[in-house]
Amino acid sequence: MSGAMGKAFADLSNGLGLSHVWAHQAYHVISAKYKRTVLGSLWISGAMVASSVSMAIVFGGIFGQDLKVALPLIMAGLLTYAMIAFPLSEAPEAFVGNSTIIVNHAYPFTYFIFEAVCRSFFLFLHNLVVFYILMAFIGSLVPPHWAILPGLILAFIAMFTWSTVTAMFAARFRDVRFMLPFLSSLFLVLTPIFWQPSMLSGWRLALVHYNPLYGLLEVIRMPLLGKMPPTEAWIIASITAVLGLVAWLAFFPANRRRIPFWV
Amino acid sequence: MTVLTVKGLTLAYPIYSMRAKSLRNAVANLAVGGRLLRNRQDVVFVQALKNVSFQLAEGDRLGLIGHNGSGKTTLLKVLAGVYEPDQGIVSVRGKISSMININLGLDAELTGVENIYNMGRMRGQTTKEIQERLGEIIDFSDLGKFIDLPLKTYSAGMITRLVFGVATSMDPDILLMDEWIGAGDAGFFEKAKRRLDKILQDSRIMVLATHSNELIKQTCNKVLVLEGGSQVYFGDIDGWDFERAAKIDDASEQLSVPQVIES
Repeated sequence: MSGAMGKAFADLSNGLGLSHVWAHQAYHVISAKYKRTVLGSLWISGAMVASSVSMAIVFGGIFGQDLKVALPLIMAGLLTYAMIAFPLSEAPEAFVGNSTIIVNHAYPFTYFIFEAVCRSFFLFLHNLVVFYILMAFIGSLVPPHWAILPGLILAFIAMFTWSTVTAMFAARFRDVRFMLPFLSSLFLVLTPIFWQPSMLSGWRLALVHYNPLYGLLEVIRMPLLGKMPPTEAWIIASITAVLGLVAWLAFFPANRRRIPFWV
Repeated sequence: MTVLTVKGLTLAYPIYSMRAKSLRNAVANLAVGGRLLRNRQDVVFVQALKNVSFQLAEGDRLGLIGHNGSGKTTLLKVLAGVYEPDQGIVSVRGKISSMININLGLDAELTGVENIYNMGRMRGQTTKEIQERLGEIIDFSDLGKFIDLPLKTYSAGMITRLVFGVATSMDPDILLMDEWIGAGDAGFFEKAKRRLDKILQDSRIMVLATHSNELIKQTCNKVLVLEGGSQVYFGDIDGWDFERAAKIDDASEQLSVPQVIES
C-alpha cells in the first residue's frame, strides 16, 4: 500500500513538473477553436453574458431587484459556478478523452487533471475580463476583496481532488460519464446563483447549508463583488476541499495503475 | 553495464464487459454481495505476461519475437511505463524514447512549424531544445512552403514525413519500437531508412517488436521469444534457430492465444 501511495505522489510531482506543457495545452485548446475570429477566445464568454443578462432582467423583475444589483450578483455567480462545477461538468472526460495518450505514453495521470483544471481557470479569467467590462459599463465596478486569494486556493484543491475522482469513476463506469454533467445543470439552479439564500425559508434552506458547491461559490463570488464571504461559506468550502483530499487519497493511489485499462 | 533489468515480470490485464462498466450493475452487485460480477464474462483477466526476465546492457539491440497476442506490445508498454506490472521488477536507467504511436501531439488545425513545437512539447522537450532542432526537422521533412500551412492541407505522405522527422529528432537513449515505422513514398524511403539507422546507432539500447525475422537478423543482437505471454527464449540471436521455429510453427499451426483467467 505504501508503494502505491509513493507512486501516487511521484505521479503528482511529475504532473506538476509538466506545468509548462499543460498550461500551454490548456490555452491552446481554448484558443484553437476561435482562430480567425475578431474577438478570439472572448467569444467563450458570450454564453455567460447572454444568460446572465437575460436572467438578471427576468429574475430582477420577479424579485423586485434593481438591475445594478441583480446583474453583478448573477454574472459573478455564473462565472464562478462555471469553474467550481468543473469536476461535474467536464472533468469526467479528462481520462476518457485522452485515452490514445494514456494507452501509448507514460504520462503521469495527474497531468490530464492539471490540464483540465487549468483550462477551466483560463475560462474563468476570460469571463472575468468580460465581467469587469460590463460592470464598468453599468457603473457597478468595485475592486475585488483580498479574500479571493484563499478562496481560489480552496477552489483549486477541491477541483483538483474531485476532478481526479470523477474522471476515474467516469472511466470505470461509463454511465457516470454521462450522469455527472446532468448533476452540474441540476446544481446550477439548486445553488444560490439566480436567487439569494434570504429568499428561502424552511426545509429549502438545506440547499444552502448542505450544498457542497455553495461554499466554493461564495468564497469567490463575494470577493468579486468586493465583499468578505460569510463564515459559513468558508466552513462549507473547507469541508468540500478536505473531503476531496480524503476521496483522492482513498481512490487515486489504490486504483491509478488500472486507469490505462479503463479508458 | 546493465541498463535495463526485468525480473519476474507478470501482468494480467482486466477487460471489462459492458455489464461491468455499467454503474447500475455495479450497485446491484454490491447489494447482492459481489455475485453478479463473479461471472467470468464480466471482468475477464487476460494473462498477458508471465514471469518474464531479462537484462540488457549498453549497446544491446533486442528483438521481440512472437505471434499476434503473444505479449510483445504489452511488454513494450510495460517498459515504456504505460502499464505497471502486477508482480516483478522493471528497472530502467536512462530516458525512454517510445516510438509506439508517434502521432502524439499532432493537430490538424496547426501549421507544420506549430506542430513541430506541439509534438516536441508533448514529448517533454523545452522550447529551446525544439528551436535547436527546428531547422533540421524542416529540412528533413521536405515540405517546402507547406511548412507554414495548416496540417489539414497536407497529403498523407506529407504528414508521415513531418511526424517521422519529429519522432526521429530526439536524442535516443532507450528506444522502443512497435514494428518498423514506415515513411511514405519510395523516394523518401531511403532517406528515412538512413535517418532511422542513425538514431539506432546513437541509442544506447533498442527494443523492437516485429513479425519480420529478416529485420531482426539485420538489426538485433539479442532476441526474446514470447508465446502466450511466457518467455520461450532469451539470449544471443545466434542461439535461436529461426528456421526450426518456423517449421514447428508450420507443422502445428498453433496460434498463440493469451490465457484467460477467472477473476
